Amino acid sequence: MNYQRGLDSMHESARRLVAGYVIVSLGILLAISGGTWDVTNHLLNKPETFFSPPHAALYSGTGAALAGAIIVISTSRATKRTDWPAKLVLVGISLLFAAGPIDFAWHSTFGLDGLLSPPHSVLVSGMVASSMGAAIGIATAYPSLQRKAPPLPLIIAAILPVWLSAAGAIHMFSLPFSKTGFYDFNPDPLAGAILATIGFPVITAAVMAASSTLFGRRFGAATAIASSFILVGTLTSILPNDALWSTIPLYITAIVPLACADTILSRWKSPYSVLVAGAIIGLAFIVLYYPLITHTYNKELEKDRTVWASLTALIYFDMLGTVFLLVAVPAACTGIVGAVVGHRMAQRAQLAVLK
Amino acid sequence: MNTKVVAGAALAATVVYFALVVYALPQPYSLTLSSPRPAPVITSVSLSDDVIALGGEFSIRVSAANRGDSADLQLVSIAFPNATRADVATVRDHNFKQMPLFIWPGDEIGAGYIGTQRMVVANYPAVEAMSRPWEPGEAFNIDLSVRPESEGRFVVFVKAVGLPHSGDQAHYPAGGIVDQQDEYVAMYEVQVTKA
Repeated sequence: MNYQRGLDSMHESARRLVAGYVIVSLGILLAISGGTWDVTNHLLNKPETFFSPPHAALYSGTGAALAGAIIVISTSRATKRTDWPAKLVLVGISLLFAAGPIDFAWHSTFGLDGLLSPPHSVLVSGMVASSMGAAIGIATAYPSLQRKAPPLPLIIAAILPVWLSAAGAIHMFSLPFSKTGFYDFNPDPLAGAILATIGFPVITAAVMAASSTLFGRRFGAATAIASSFILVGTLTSILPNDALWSTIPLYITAIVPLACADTILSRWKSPYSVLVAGAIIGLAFIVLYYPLITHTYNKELEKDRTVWASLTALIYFDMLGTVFLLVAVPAACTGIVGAVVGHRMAQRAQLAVLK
Repeated sequence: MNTKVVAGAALAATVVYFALVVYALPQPYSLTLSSPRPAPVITSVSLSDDVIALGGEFSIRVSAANRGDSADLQLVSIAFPNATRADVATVRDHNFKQMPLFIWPGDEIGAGYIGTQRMVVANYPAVEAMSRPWEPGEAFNIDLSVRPESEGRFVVFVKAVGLPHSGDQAHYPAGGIVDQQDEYVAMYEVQVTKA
């Protein structure tokens, strides 16, 4: 009887932990989507106050993530066992909440802020830390509850915020949006282009390979998560700018190589499949991170040309062939590295759960 | 189906995809896109006085519109080539989407109608009012109070620029005097007499 009550209590704790982690993930998903929308809003409207719709989305998401973190921490305390994913969530949420007042003070002092600024760095660090903590928490807590791998929607909810947050961090250090009347934090154009060429393929391939592995190398997980990424990108980076609407069909086609990579991962059971899929995913970054990467590469290739919001698509198509030639080999190579790392990390997570 | 065949087909589809998206589609896609052609116009400039005494002030009201396509950014600049300080002018009222900026001598400013890609150092102060974006048909105005620093002829330069600058229609006036930014301006003046 007591044994059964103990089991029920453990199940209840695990259920609450999973729920808490999922709420953290969804909160960060809303927050990082708001952040990306905010970047687009700055390009289009140059908002001058802290109070804007993208900031509302960003901080609503942060609030939701806080609620999830409270559930995770209170459940951990009740069971007298705080695992390191829970600690990572706590650190991330603390950073997020520290960033809010700093961001408000920064806006009040300097008005229009750049993309890379002290409060934004704290904010994105908090998003990366808490989304990673939540993803690992879901990956470990769910199997202990259900004795099976997480279902596809849960894998997407866990991994998509990590992907978006990591992409946000790379954008922050590669886009030339950080020069204001008060300070100049813009990266060197070449360094920004190199960071984008290495960073985006690595995280994209790592996330997709990890998703595929966590889903048992069956077709669907990697494609679904890539579709979700494309949906968020369309909603936050393209839809707000009506000059880019006609390019939405082309942007959506980025799913083609990514679905092909997922097919290779799921159907070709050779060690080489991860390498080939990684190379394909690495190459796809050139379409997947449109339209923002237009600014990154234009700054290096065409220093005298301004990427106005209405000209973004024209400039992107103008430079696409040249940029692809320059980045194809490094992007494929770094994609391979990312895929191998993501695949192995997911395998280790699965082994840890089994142990 | 043979797994290697499926994987090979996926690989072939990827090659075809990149060939199409990177090299075949951009050109026809670009043909469907065009650069917008904003057409800024200064619709009126009114000065409260033609002659004032030194120490006094006059007001200037500038109204502008966009008679072309949507501008990502359109600005109205009111500059004071005889002045040495930007606080020679005070903004009394405006309805622009962004707060007007004060340009001080020594500040770096964009030149040649290409935004910040070509920067020059300002020699005299100006006030720049902008709306981002500035849609077709929208009109904005700004009211300034100006207190000249010395007696004599006090000159005011007024212009409007639409960005992206996609042709001669994207600046106003179309010709005339060229200012410190290598851009055309309309000139107005007030006589400042001894107090």
